[in-house]
Amino acid sequence: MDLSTRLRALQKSAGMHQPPAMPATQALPPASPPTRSPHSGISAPDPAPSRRHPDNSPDQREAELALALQARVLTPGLLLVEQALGPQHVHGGIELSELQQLQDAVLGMPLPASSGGWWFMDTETTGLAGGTGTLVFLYGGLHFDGQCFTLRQWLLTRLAGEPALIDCVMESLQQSALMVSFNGKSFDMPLLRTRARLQRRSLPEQHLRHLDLLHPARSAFAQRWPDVRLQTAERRLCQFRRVHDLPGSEAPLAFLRWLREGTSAGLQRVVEHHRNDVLSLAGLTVALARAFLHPHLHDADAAGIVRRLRRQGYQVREGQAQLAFAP
Amino acid sequence: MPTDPALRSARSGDTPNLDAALREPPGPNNPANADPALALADRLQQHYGERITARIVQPARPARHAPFPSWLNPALVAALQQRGVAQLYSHQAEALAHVQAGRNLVVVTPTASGKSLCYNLPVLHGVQAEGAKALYLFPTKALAQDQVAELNELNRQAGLAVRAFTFDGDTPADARQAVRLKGDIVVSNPDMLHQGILPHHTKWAQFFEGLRYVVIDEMHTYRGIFGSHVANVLRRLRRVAAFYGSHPQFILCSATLANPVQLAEGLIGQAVSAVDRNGAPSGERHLLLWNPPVINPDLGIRASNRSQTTRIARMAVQQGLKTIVFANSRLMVEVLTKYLKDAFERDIQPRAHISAYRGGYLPNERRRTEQALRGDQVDCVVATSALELGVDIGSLDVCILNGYPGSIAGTWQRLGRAGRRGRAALGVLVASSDALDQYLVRNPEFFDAAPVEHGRIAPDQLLILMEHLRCAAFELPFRRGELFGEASVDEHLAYLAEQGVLHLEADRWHWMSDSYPANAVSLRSVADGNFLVIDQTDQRKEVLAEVDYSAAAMTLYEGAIYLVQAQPYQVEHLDWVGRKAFVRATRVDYYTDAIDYTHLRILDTFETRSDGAALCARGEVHLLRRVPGYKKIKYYSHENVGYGNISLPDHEMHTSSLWWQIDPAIIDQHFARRSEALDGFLGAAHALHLVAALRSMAERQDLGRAVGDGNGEWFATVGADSRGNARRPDGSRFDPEQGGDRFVPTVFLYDNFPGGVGLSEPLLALAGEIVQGAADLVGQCPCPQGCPACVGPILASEAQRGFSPKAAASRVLTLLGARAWT
Ligand SMILES: [Zn+2]
Repeated sequence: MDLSTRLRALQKSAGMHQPPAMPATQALPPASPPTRSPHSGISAPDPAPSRRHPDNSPDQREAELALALQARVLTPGLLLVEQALGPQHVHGGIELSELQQLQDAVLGMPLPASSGGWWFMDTETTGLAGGTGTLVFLYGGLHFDGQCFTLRQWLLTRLAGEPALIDCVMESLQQSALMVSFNGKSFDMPLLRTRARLQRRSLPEQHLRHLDLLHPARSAFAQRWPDVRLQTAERRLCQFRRVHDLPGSEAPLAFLRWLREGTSAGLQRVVEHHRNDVLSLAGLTVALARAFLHPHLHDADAAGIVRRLRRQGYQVREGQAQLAFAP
Repeated sequence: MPTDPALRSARSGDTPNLDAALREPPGPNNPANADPALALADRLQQHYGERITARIVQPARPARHAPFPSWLNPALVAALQQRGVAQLYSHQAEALAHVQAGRNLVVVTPTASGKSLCYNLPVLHGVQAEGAKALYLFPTKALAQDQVAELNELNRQAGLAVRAFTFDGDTPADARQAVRLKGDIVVSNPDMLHQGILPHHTKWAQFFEGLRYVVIDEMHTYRGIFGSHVANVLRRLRRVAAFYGSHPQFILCSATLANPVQLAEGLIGQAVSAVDRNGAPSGERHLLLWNPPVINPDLGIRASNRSQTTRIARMAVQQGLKTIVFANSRLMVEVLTKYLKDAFERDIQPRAHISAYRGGYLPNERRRTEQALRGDQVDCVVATSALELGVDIGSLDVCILNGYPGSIAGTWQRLGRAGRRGRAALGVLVASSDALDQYLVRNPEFFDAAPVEHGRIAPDQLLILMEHLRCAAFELPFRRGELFGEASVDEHLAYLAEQGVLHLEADRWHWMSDSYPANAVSLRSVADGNFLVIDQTDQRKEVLAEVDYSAAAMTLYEGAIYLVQAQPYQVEHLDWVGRKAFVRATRVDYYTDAIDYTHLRILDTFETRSDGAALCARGEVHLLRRVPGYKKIKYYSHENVGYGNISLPDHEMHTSSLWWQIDPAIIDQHFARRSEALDGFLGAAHALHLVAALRSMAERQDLGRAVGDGNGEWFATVGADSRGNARRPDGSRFDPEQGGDRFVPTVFLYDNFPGGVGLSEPLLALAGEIVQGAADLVGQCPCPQGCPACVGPILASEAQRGFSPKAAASRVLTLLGARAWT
């Protein structure tokens, strides 16, 4: 008896749930029009390999994906999508250049000195479970040096690319003074540290300050909104609306589909989704800073904001519809 | 203690202590027994001699000392000297030498022999000298906390700056980071290592980089399914440690077993040295095996052991002897405490102080009892196994066990609770009516000779292995050809890749699934099909217990009486698909016993031993179990007082089994009728099952028993008429007399878990002893025709059948007991 037959018999007699032959693939939503793979979805539990693109080598598929994303192949397994945005870039209703006009201490966090830049950072992962088994397959952000915006997204196309990805993560952190994230303190950074550790590195974080927008957003709007998620915040504060956005929860499946079957449509949408996320981080920084200064103009919870600032050691004076604070 | 060669050589001399004591009970004016505990033993023997089946004497043993090794940190030596420890015991010095030489080690010495110094000294030394880190694993949180207290005390006395912390489910989230970064010694349990530490090993990077020692205490608890899981967790631990460049040394401690080195090597997957020559001194120790008197000779019913235990404890306390009574359930702790309090209520003498101590009490309540015991404010404590280990309760004189605790190792651990320096200690094991208790009190050699209990594990059991391969792959990718345990697991990993859980790239398998596999794996069970038992008494809806899938059909059918801590609950509704049983507390004077049509078919024979007339073999079997109904059986009298129907799906599994058969021609020679042989096989199976469970330290429900045809054409049960009868798989009757030439009744003892957990393989090696033990069990039973304690609770007697089921069982066992097997 082969292993899988033995195991099925044992699982049955132990009363265990019987796994279908290929659960992950079956759960994937159709990624490509049926004309491209006429057999898919009809002959039921076909094992995965038969659905792979038979003609293309991994290198070729990677090259095709790079072309579609206008990306560079940094090393086999790792692509970089890099794009300079003009200084006048507008995200939703926010001009990102307004970042230049922010006060010294935005949202209770000192601004970066002119020598270091801002880094609006986000990741896409193979899951939310945490621990050593969760992989970061897309890392990147928007870098702002006080003048120009540069978007950089590093995408794993093979697991062999991970050491190089970690190098890029480290480099990006070194080049920044203030990192801005949404829930990055509890999710993205622990995960990146874990991935780095597994490559026997440790991330350079000593010099880096980290502004996690989730916390100021909560102080200002937890009492006002049904939830405080990034997409809620960007819609309400930046008037940014996504079109045909891939839900974040489908990102892991899109990556799996690429790895197993070589189909890239889902992965391209993840890259687009991630681009919107990091632009929203920049837009939200501006919008939240406004709300902190003028809570009443932005329907923010002034009391919540005052509590947060005081907790962080600021003295807060309340003027007409405006807060003024000093460390 | 049984393993101690000093004791054995003393006993193999010309003074058979046991016989001497029985032949010549020392009188009250015997000056040798001025010791109060021994005087009590003498009095018990004078008054109740016929209830005492044996008096086992372990002579006092002087200490054997050894100097502190010269390399040991002088601050530790000074701290011990300050405590009044001028030298080490020989076994401690021996253990230190092994650890210093870099060897893995298992220390097998009795309770109260100072075994924790065997690991604490070298570990504290290593931490101080080289910044080494250590991981301690205990089976329970309470033991872990005691150990940290002990470490901190030693650390303080020696003025060292070693930081020892517990890390378990109770560790607050904000303290965890400090434990990970600053802990030199982390004291945890296997479950926490499995779910909380290994899947987050990167957070523990510094700890793993420095990990030099892994200490595993109470090793004997890691056997069977739990042990098989723990062995896999330790494989994962070694794998993760190796990633950080660490190859820790293992120090294990165990109660007395027949195979401590084998179990230790199975758990850690490496060679292990043993230290088993105890150098700690001990006073003289007497153990009385006590069988309550027969009150109904026809039915073989004995007086309850509760009343006997109460009486003995009362006598001990009246003599001014500090006493501990161990009961096997929380309920029994309460019952005995009440009995004792009532008894002293009636006494005119100054009131004795009786305390109860068990799990479920609040921690500060327990601490108060512990303090009162140390401070001599309590005369007698009634406890569950919660007091068996660790917890410091000062010195006691008498230990009474109300019923056999389930293992001989556990019996000695409890008895070890009594004993003061320079004085004798008395233990009394009061047998219950359970067949195993009855067997043990009639066979004192189990307590007196070399240990017979084997701790067994099967880390490569396929279901268990697959679960841990998922966890291990989550922790670190697997290289192609990498070993897990001793074997390559490429085939298993390829299967997981096929399932979409792993992804193979180049020569590595990577975890590729959005889940946290450790959360789906409980170390205490084999699979995830467990049933929840939900108490709906007074609309409560509380989860009372969890029952393994394989046991559910036999215990949770509608109408079943389900016992929790001896409290009966009746199953009102069973949701088979939802895996829930709804029960309500009840008061009934019967228990229920499912009628079990278990039908086994031999699929493959791995090994056979035969002398021509009979054979014993092991192999793979297919099991089909149907549970058509149940009997209501009255307590004590074992009468059937009713029946109920059960309709549940059939249960099928492949598992491993041991079986015995006798040549059909020889059966026909020795039995007038085949039905008589069938009864003989059923009775023999009952006795073989008991003895095999004892030897393999298996819970009796983990080792199944069945009698049937070797070809799977029929199986035997005890019917409603209390007679053995045979049925075909479809339930129709099979008449053995009409069975033609081929009548091959077979006794099966099988692993009651899908795929088996390795119980049957070692049983084949012990088959000769098991048959001999079963023959003794039946032969020595004082009943005339067979009773619940020997051939089982149900076979009708000679008057009904025209022959003796006991004699038939003995004949079967004699035919099975061929010398060729041993
Ligand atoms: Zn009997």
